[in-house]
Amino acid sequence: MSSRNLSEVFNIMRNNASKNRNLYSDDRNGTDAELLLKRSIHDAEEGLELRDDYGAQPAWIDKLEEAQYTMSKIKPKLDELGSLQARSLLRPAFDESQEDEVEMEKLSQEIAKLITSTHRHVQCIRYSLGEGGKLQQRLTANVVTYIMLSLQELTLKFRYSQNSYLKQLNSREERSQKFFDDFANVPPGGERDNYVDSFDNFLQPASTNRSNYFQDDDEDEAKQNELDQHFQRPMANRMTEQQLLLFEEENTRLALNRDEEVSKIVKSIYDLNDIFKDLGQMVQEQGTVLDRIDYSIEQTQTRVSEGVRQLQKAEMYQRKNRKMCAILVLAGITLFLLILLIITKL
Amino acid sequence: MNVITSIKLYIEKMCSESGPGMKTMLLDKETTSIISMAFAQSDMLQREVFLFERIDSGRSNERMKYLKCIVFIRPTKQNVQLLAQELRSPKYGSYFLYFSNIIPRTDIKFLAECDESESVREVKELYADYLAVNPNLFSLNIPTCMQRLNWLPDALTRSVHGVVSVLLSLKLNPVIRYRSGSTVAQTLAKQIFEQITKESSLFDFRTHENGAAPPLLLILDRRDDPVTPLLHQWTYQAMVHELLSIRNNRVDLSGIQGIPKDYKELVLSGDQDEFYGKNMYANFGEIGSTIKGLMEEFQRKAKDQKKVESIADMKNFIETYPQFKKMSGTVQKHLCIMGELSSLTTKRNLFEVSELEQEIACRAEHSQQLQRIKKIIGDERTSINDVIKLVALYALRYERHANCDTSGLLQMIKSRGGQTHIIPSLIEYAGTHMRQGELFNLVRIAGAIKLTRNFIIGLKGVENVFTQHTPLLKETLEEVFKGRELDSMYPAINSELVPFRRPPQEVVVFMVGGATYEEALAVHQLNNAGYRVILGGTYIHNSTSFIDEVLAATENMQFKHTKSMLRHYASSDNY
Repeated sequence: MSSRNLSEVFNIMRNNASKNRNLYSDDRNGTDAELLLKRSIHDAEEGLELRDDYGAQPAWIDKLEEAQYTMSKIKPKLDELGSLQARSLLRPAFDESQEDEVEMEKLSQEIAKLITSTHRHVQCIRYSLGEGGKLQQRLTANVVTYIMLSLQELTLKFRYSQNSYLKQLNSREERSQKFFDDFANVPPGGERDNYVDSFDNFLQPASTNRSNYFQDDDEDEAKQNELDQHFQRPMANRMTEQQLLLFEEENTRLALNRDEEVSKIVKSIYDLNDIFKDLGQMVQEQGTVLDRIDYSIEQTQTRVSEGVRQLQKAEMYQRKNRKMCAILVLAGITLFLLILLIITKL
Repeated sequence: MNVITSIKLYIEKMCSESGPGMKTMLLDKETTSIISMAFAQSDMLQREVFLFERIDSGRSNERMKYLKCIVFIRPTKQNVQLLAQELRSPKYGSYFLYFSNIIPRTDIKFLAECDESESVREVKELYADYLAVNPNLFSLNIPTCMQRLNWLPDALTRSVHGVVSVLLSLKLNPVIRYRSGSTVAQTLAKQIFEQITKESSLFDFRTHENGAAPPLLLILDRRDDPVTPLLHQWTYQAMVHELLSIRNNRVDLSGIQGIPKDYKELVLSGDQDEFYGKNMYANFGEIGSTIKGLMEEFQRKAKDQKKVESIADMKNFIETYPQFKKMSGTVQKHLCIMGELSSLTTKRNLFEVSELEQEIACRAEHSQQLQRIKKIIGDERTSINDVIKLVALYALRYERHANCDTSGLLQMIKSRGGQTHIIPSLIEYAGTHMRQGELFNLVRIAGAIKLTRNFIIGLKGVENVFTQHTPLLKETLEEVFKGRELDSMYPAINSELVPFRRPPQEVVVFMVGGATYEEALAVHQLNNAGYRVILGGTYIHNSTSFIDEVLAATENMQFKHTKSMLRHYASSDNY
């Protein structure tokens, strides 16, 4: 892969040319002052031109930068998460790893938040799709596609890492389950709990969350069991009213908690739905003719030529209209004059 | 030795050198094709190139000073003029100029004088001046390169540029050999050699220190082997090109009924489509079974997708959805193509026609083949174009045969309303007087080994009647790699580089008059066997485009070798 750099040659030639130009213009326009005046006017014009919205940046540029920035932040976080997951998988699951898990949860939450915020930026850019000239519209559309594509890649990577981690964790837990007696008397409702468990994970991919809930659920069940046992016991051994009330309070608190979680879940499902709708579309375009550079150029060219044709047509119509106008006006005047003639003659 | 990769590296270099920030790309007609063959638009978006514009056609005059502009054009006079105009009133903030070939210093000076606002940041020559079709196949997209059997001047300069850029991008300073007796090959070889000597500083690669033989550039003439482009093909890529025609990796299906709207135009790129990349050299039958496998896998996945009952399923669905979508796109695309191919095959009676084509190309049984041709001409199902191709093959094969009945066949074509002038033109273009070597394995003493080989093949019987034919190119290349004496048939232009009886390690073949996908397959097989070959041509031909080229090349010519044929059918005109 050889190449040749001609920048230096070009620069030298450009400098020479500008020098020559100055010399030449010096000879022609006598005084320097005149030249200076001309220059400054010219510069002012340039400056004005720049200030004009003629060449101004579209408003969404900072959004693009923000999106790029957030995406660049996601990447190292993903790596970190990956390494954390790998580490915690290598270690046996004693409760000491709590710290790691908290960290992991925090990280994945952050990543999820970053992804949604990038998504919001894209939405912002999308709002300004119809603004500006043709070229700028195309630019905007392409920028949106670009962000979506990179976002898609990141999201998929994130989901994948979460999923594989979960799978490995689950399989390990299954293996270790036999060794713990506590799990032996999990009621048949256990299946349903697992269910909720995956539900939580699905939304807040932090795996630690999962285990926390799991513990909560366990406690919950334990209490339920206790309660059942309580009623089976003879009257004398039963708990006091107060204790029962306490139980109930605890239960309502848990129910409220769960309700909140569920509503959160529903909301994030909607978000996810939106995101994936967009992403699905992106993927579809890849590998088709829509993703060809030459095709898109051809398309714009045909559109340009069509536009020219339509303009010509419009011009024609307009001209026709003008003619019509003239005819009508003239006809009106003739009528008016005719009437005038008749009136004056009578 | 991979042309697609080298083009990609060049483009990546362009994008990375201009630094971060939004970019636009200013291209000309040819560089547009070059880039789109290597990268998809989404790939370029990933490199922050958001806009693409053609320098040579209607452009809006919106100013976008916040964009960087990468200019990638061929250094032609017209392009330089247009670029100078652009630089005089720059629309973009800064310019990075990349020329796809060697640009004269005077043009650089002219551009430098035009750049009054000093917006040019970088000027470079990046030698990506050819269309990379497959990793081992490039084309220059010149549909007709000859007129009156000599170079069209434009086509000649384009070919010189193209081949030189291939050599530069692969860092080769080769021995140049050309087919002796072919003026076109010789002219091209000479001009390439001149270009290399003129730019000797560019071609100063330190490669031969370890005593390896220098690479070889072999310039061949299509007219040595007019048979290959006329044959019907049965490998996937070649077949699609023959029946539906591939243009810059795109297949246009818009003329066909019953095709879904999104599949009116398809992209077949081995680089972007994994399935295609794996199967483009597989033959029709194999593809059928692979597609069936793909279909089954797809159905299984579709079934998985359907049952979304629980949240876990939903989660799975979302994860696999993009992949699923991609797969469904691939499946549908290839099904569309395969469906069309098989319907064309049955409609045009191609199995029978192709078998006879192969027989004519590989075996000499004059009277029997003549009978079969007559039978096929009489068959209403065969299209007139296929008939013309058959007769063309017959005329080429039995040109000097005592009982050659080309004129009779021509009259039969005429009675079916076909264009007979194709055949004399073809004979004029590539008859025996033009050819060298033994295209049809005519019996000679020198061909003793070949004779025995043919005998063995005859005993064993052929594996597949539709793919008996191997292109002449394969034999030529095998001889090259065996280190045979080449000077008599392929003299070297810079003979001081020629090593003593050592075969070259790397070979670039350039076919004046266009290469074919069948030859690309042969080159692919050689590459798999451990050799390093790259094939290129002025165009990638199928039979239709080849016949067009032949007609254009022989237009307005005095026909010397087919007088009898002409006389015959001129007299039949009088009837």
